[in-house]
Amino acid sequence: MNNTFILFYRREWQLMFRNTSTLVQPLCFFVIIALLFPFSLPAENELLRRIGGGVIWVSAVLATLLSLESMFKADFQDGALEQWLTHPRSLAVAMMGKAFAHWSATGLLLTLFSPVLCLTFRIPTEQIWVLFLGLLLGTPSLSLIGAIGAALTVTLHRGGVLLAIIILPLYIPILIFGAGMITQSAQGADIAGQVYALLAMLMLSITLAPFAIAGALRATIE
Amino acid sequence: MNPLSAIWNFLYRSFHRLGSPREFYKISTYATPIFGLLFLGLCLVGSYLGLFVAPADYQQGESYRIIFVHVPAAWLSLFVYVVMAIAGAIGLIWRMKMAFVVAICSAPIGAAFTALALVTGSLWGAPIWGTWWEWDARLTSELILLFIYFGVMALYYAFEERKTAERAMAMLSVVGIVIVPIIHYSVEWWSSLHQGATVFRDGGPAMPASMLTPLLLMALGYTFFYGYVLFLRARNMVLHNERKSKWVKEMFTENL
Amino acid sequence: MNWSEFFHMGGYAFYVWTSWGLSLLVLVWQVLQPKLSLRRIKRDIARQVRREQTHGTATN
Repeated sequence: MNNTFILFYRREWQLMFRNTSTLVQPLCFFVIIALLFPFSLPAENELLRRIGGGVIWVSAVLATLLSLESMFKADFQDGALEQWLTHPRSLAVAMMGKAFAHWSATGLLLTLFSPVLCLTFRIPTEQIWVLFLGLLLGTPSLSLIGAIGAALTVTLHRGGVLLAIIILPLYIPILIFGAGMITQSAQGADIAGQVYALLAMLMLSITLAPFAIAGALRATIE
Repeated sequence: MNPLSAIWNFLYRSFHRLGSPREFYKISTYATPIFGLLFLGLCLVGSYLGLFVAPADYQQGESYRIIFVHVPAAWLSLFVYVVMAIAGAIGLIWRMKMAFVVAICSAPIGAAFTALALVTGSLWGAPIWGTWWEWDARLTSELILLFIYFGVMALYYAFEERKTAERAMAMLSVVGIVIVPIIHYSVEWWSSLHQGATVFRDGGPAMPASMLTPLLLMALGYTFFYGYVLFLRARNMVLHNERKSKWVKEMFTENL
Repeated sequence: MNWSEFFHMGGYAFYVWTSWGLSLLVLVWQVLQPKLSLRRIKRDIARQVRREQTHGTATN
């Protein structure tokens, strides 16, 4: 079982390093979206500091969403997906490996880069770490839940907009708790509640989402 | 045989009979008008009691009469979703054709009532809170529910092959039912961070029977309405899906 | 209670009657829509059956 997870995780990494644009694109998208906000708002440092956390979270959600569409596309086109479906190993565990590889290439990368973005929004140091922690706990759920949508739309030619419509409403709880953490800490309040909520959702997505991804693939391909 | 197992056997058999499109079509021929009549009766009596008999509210005056159309719509928006998700799960697990039909036919009905609940809620909020929209937990999660309905329908219509579309939309509605309660509680938590419970007063006066009776009648009537429209839609879908099968063709050769 | 007072709804006439009117509209539309599409479905199937009868085979 562990082998399947590691096998798929490694396989995805190898594929991604062969084509580094899949690593760079979501990160670039993330930064550009976040930087659009200062341009479209009055140039007040106080305002930017207050909305910065929320803006970075929205950008992270959108960047994840953008990268989801191609998640299963190549595997579907070269027929690998159909092989996985017929293979006796656990499809759910394999898909968990794939989702975590996706997270390492998008969510984790965004999280690591977020402190730099925080500086441009003039977010104070202690809140930078709060945001960092929130993204670290929240983005894996984004990848896991998003993979369900990616699996449901993999056979469609233009599934991008549809993917956004079906997945974005499901992202709302993570967004609320993740962005709420920064608001809370800016007010000097305790953030333990949000951390627990994000952890709970992470546990729930780790346990349920792989089965939903596998079910979605079985539903659309066959 | 004891009566309990007899009832179980009856339910089990009727469940399986309803699983066949042909049997469903036959049974629903009689069930549909019954649901329609029950809806009409309950809602006519409910409307009469609600508009003419129930007294004005001592705080909100006559404006509270929106409750008799608002709460039943909001109730249906959730009830229809639960039915849709359960039907979707049954369809996925037991590969039952009719379960998919029920799930798919429920989606537009649920979406319509969700939209209605939002609009009537807004019309109620305008005079009472002084605003058309509040970022309140219930309103917000209802709005998100509407988008989930849209997503489920959009996913269904995106596929060309019916069987794939059915399974995909069933899968999404099952995923949704796990997440909808989480969304509701997270949104509740979120809006309580922004503002106190000044908008919705908790623990208001218990509703007197003269107001509660029409409300319950309307809610029950709406539920039968859902059953009625579900049957209408499901019968259409069965006819269309089974147009190549013998029993549908025979039905039409007799009519010709 | 007289009728004009009833329709006035204590000054909330617009809100109350728009809500009830919209609800009625949605209910009517929900019933009409499947009834209208039933007509189309029946016509399509009848056409299909007639075509198969004239051509003899059910290849379509």
